[in-house]
Amino acid sequence: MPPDEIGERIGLPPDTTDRCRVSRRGLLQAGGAAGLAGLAGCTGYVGSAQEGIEYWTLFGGGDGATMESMVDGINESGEYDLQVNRQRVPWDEHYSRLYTSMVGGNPPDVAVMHSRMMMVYQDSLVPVTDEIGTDPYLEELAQGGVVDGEQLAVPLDTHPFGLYYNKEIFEEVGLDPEEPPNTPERFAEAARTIAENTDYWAFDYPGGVNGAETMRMMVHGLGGQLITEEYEPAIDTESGRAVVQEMYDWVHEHEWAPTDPDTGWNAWNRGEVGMKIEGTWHISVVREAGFEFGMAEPFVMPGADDPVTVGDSHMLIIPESEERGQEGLEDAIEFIRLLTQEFNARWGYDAGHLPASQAAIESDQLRDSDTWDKTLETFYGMVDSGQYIRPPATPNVQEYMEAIYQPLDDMRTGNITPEEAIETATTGVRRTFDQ
Amino acid sequence: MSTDTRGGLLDGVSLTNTRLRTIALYVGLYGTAALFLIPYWYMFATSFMTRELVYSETPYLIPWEVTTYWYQYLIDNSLIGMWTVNTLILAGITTLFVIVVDAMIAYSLTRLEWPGRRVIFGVIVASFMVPGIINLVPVYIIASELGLVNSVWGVVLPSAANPLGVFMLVQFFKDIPEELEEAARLDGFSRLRVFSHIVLPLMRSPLAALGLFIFIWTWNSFVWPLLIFQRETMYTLPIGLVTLQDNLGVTEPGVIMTSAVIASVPLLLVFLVMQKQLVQAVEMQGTTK
Repeated sequence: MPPDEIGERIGLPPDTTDRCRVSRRGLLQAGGAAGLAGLAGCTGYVGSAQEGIEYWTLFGGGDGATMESMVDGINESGEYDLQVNRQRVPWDEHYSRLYTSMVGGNPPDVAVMHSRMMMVYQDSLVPVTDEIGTDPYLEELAQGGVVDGEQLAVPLDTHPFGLYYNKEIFEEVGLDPEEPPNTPERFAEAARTIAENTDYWAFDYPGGVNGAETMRMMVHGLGGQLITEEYEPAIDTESGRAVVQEMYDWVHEHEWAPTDPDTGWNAWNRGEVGMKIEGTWHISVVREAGFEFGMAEPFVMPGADDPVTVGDSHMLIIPESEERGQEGLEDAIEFIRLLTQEFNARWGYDAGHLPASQAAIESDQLRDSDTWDKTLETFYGMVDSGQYIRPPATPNVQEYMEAIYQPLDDMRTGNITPEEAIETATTGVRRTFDQ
Repeated sequence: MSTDTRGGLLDGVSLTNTRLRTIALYVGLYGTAALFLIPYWYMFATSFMTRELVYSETPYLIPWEVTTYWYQYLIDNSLIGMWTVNTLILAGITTLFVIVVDAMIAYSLTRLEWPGRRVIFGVIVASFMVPGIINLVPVYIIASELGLVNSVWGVVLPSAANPLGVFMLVQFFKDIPEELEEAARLDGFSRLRVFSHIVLPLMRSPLAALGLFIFIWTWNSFVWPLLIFQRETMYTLPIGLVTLQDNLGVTEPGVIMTSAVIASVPLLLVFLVMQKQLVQAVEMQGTTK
């Protein structure tokens, strides 16, 4: 303000309107600044780079919550001097993102990988043979992470299939709910009884990739396999044809299962399906559904002399990275050790998967839990007695599984015959590995 | 033809052929519109249904037992507030950036004389033909080399020279009379001032329409932000909500529908606000030549 104007104003009452006047532009600017400041506080785009271990998982729902609590336990205990930045990656995009990040030189420090994907990633993983080793884990699971004698992945769990059944429906039709339908004969009798005496579906089984795994499980029970070690399709064989026919009969001959897996899924959640093949993870679903349930070995294939369940493993891997120093590598290894050993029991009793660690399996925490009684004891029994297989690690895993499950799903809906399904699957698998 | 009407309320109302046809037309049009609305209503209604109703054998369009359980579930089990803010910021910055850059490119291609501009325009239009997925890994490697992973600019910059935006604006810029610019230049306007004070204000509707497209496109984009943002706190809504949906193939319909409502309502609001500009842009393109 010029000095002459100041002189004129001396002695006059203060002009409050002038002091308090705020221009519209000023108000907008202030509002904008406040808004930006507010947004800055609510976004993850502002702030310094994160220090610590980058850990990518694909676990959502109940599994995601359990994994979050395990990682929080490590971060907050103060005992381990580790900072882990866990992030959930959408299930369907996990492997695309992992692959791209490895190609682009920005991989995470630790990531989850299924054991059957090993062949795709094995050339770019850091071995941990000397630092961790296979001894602390169930042998069959640990071998899923070993290639040419080098341990490239460490097992967190296995998540095989079981046969869940609705005890309330069993009681309703006069079946003994405490006698699990764990042989082909008991399974068939239970299915027939439910179908004849109720309007419920007797049985349901998964579609998609888990439908193909169900087929693998049954084929192995008959002494066969889905693909040979040379990646040749082994579907058009005696065992393959018997299993495909059996799956067809469940739906179209006996009418035990619906043609549409979604119908089965919804009915199961309403408590209107007698039995259902699902994996370890399903315990959280049946608990939520609210009916009394039991779980048995999924030995449903008639004539199977060597019945098995099939289960992949969640493994933990360290992708190679030029950016990661020795200290970062040591932290990543320690983190893997903690998740797969110290905190492994929680993965069992909270998330329902069979822990890979021998100590976790034998721990009181796990054995005294409701999850052990309900499901894990049966799952462990199958693994311990050799009634368990892992899906093989192959190239083009997702592609060849798709080549099998698409015709199986088509057959289930009634669009093609079992013979056509076998032919389509055989051609599809062969084409996948010929490319 | 007229139809006799009986009863007090319809006294004096005559139904001519034209009126009947009009009524039939409206019934048909509103009926069709209602058909399109049914899936959205079902999504909205399911998000308020109890688990029993969601899994009921009979599909319900009206939730006679209302619950906010699924919304509470999402709030308690996710960073949904942060993801919403992230999406707003990302879509806002990308939209502004694309509008400014594309407008400058389009102006340069239509109004400035420089060698090779036709070739450049041809390349931009031809890039329409290349599926985005093909560029994914090469562009990711470039972004990674530039240190743009975990940065907003890693998502914004690859969208900058958007072929759709450039192509669309070039068509609009061609319609602006050159005399306007000549007059401005005679008045002493610089090229930049002509662009900012004459051209851009005239292009308000097309720019708003482009902005709307880009905003929606960025809001819904999934794969590229997923690759660039490698922290859960940086996720956008579409990414974050998907991480909650899938768990080994186990999916709760209530969670899916509620996620869909949360992800789509802000877009619907933006569209309602911008609707007038969008229609004006279409009218402008239709009437000028």
